[in-house]
Amino acid sequence: MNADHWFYVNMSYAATFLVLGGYATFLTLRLRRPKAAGRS
Amino acid sequence: MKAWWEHIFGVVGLGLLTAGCYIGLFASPAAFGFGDSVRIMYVHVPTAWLALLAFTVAFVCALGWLFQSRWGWDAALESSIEVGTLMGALLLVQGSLWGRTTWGVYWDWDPRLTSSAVLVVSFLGIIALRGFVDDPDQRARWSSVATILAFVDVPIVYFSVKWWKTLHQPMSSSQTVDSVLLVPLGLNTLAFLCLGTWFMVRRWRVAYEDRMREVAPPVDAAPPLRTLEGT
Repeated sequence: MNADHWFYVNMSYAATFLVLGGYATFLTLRLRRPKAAGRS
Repeated sequence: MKAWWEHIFGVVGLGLLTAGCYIGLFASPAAFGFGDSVRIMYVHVPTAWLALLAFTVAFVCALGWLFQSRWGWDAALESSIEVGTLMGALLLVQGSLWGRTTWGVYWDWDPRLTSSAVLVVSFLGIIALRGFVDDPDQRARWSSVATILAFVDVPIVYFSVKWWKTLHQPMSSSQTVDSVLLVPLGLNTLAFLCLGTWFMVRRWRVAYEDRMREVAPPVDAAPPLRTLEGT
């Protein structure tokens, strides 16, 4: 087991979960509270 | 407008992602020559496929708008561009982490890496363009044309590892990846497909509601008040 390899593996999965989770949260909040007027 | 069915994609996607990542991180073996860093591939490759798929959807929507001029196409264009660019940016981050652990560098001006970066920057430019133009009709037309132009880079990204000598590994398929490693890769690919669909449908709804508000006549545009004698 190479600790150096695992560091990059963990960073890669962390970035993936952050982006997927962050975007899902953003969309959920945006759909729950639509803009009052104007464009996106 | 509520649509419960779209959540099926989210729930199934989350379940598949959990299974795929669990197998990818803890159950699948390290690969010869790559060691444990091969586990990056299980999220990197599905991210790349989803990004290319989203840009292909954007290309179809751009043609749809130019031929039919329906706001649904423009909303789908906005949605797919955003999901594709987000996945493209994530792809570059994962790719640079993979590069650091396998090639020793975070970045190299290799054909696959360079064409991918050009693709992400091009679509970022289109998102910026949509932000600058106020007229919805003009915005839809200009961004459709720009999307068709930017899409030229998609086949270049895909075939770059065939056309040129690159540092990048060849295309991932059952011929180039061991069958044991295909299990987490396949699960995560399905997971990304479901989550990508979920994202695009939900983002489409946000964009469509925005478009409807923009093109609707203003609420305060009541007829001018006249006296009875004036009518």
